[in-house]
Amino acid sequence: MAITGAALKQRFIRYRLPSEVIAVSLLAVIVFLTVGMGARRRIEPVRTEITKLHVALGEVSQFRAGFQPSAPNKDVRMANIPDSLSVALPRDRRVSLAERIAARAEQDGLSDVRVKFAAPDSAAVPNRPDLMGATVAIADYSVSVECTGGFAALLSLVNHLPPSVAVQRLTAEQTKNGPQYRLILAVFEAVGSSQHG
Amino acid sequence: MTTPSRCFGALIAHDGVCLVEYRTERTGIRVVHQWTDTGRSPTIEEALDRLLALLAAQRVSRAKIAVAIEQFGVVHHVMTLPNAADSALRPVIQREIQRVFGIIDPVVSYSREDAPAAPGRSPATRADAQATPGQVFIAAASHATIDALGSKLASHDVQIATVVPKAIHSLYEATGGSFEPTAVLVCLEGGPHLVFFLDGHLEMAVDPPIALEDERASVGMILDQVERGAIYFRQQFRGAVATRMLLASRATEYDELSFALTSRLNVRVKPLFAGAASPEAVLAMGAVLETQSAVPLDLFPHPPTISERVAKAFRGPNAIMAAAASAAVIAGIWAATQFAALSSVRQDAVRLQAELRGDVASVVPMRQIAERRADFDREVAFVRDGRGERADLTASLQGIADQLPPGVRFDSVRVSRTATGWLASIGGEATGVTSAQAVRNLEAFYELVRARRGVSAPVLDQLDYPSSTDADAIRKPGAPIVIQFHVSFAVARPAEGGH
Repeated sequence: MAITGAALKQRFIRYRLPSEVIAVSLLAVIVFLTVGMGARRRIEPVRTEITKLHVALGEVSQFRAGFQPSAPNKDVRMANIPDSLSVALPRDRRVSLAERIAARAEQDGLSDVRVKFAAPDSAAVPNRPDLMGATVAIADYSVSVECTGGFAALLSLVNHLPPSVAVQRLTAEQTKNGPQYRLILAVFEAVGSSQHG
Repeated sequence: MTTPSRCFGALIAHDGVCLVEYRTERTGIRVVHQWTDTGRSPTIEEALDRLLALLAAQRVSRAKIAVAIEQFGVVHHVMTLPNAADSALRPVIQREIQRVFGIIDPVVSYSREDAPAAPGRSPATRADAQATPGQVFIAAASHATIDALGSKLASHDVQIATVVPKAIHSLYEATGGSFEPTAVLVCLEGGPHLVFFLDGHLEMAVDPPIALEDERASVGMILDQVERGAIYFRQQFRGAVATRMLLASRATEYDELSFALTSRLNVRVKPLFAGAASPEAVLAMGAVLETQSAVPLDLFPHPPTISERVAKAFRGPNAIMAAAASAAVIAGIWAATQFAALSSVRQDAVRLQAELRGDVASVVPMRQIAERRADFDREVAFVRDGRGERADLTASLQGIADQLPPGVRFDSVRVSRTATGWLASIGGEATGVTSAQAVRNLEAFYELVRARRGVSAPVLDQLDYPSSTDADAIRKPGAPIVIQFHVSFAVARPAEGGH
């Protein structure tokens, strides 16, 4: 049996309240489902974050439980390492570094000692110390040491160089005036911190 | 404290309204009072107004009341119908009432009760009861009458609104419901109502003749009515004869009627309801008793109960509407639950973040100390590695210099850092008395270099004699042979802790 438009209209008029309630209910169902699904989708990332937070809290607790305090003056000693023992120096201490190297060369019996700052050498760069409290980089300059004297004195100087420099190049030439030595040293520079080490 | 509602029975008719107050006691029902308004009521609204006036006179605001209705278009009928569902029976009954009484779209109420098993007969089984047609007692009225009942008595707790024959039926059952063929005669102001019972079952009801309106029936007229009813009863029920008659009439005419009925119809006459109550009051009590029937016949438009409303709400379009609304409610609850869960986990996350921030802040000094310790250890390792590297290099160079074979000297030493260690080259001269001696000395030097620990890939890059011009200029007879050489080699670096 075909349903005409008039019949449909008649039915709608007859069942107006149920029709309106059904339409509103279906709309509400769609809205509620959409909103609910949206909320459900947003729950998962938050739960993942909660899991990560729990893990982080566990690690913090574990760290706190495992931490053992040191003797009162040990940490102070660690914090006050002299420059001569530091593995990296700030840029503004390079002159004192040069002074220390020159003094050490003369102390080892070398003469005509000349310490200069030069461009970085083309030889391979030394390995840098890996520290958490400071970033250490190879300085964009090198220290050049020229001197004369005995070979043994030169080797002694190499052995007594400060930890904040590394030998990149060593040259010894026999001239008419005697042996001439030249050392090219890479410098470990503390970046963005005045902290030693 | 609320007072218990008072209980009433009532009969409303054109020629009077009777109200009876009763109390339910352990031994049964006791009539307390009765009031009668004998005013004539052309319409049911007026009759109901009279009833309400009687109730108001007793200061009753909400009475528990059972009503028997005589006339006002309220009809009754007995049909033999198979046992079937209401949806099947009701249309048949409505058509029959419309055909017999001419009431358009009547409001119908019917009751069907299984006939009690007569002595000597086995009770019907359930299957028999379902298959066997049975007597259905029907009451019907127009919508206007029913609406008037509903609206006028809305303020009272109406137990039932039934018809006179059904009230008589309840009275008959209250007398014991004998299986003896019995006639019950109730002589109301508007005429005698006669009901025949066979095997304890209401089989036939005879209304007063229409000609009796506005006048009270005489004894002779009542006898004629009873006689006609008896003949019809005999014809309808295969010669059945009522041998007993229960009579309710005014006390002033009871004896005369009883004598006349006994002598003319040869029946035993007994009072229907003992006591001084009027026939109208007796019928009012019949309506009260009808409320206690297992299958009461009730025309009153009771408001639907909660279960009926729920059932109605879940039928037809209402069912779809209810389902859609329920789905919306469920979806709403679900969405709210999801939001609550989201809110809860977000609160948890915020709480944990705050807790973690607090914990991290509390361990910052410890972390700094730990980092400082770790850095210190790494610095120590780095310094140790650096010193080791320098010591290895200087030891190699010192060893080579210290163990130079005789006749060999250096002119130059060059050492440069590589990714894996050091690349060293040494240039110098080897001298010997003879050329072979000079070469031997150079070989001894080369072997010395190769034998050094950590030295690898030694290469003799150059082996040459000074140019002849120079040699001639320098060389003198007996002077040693000089060889210029250049050796390069690699020195491995021990593993370090840096990067």
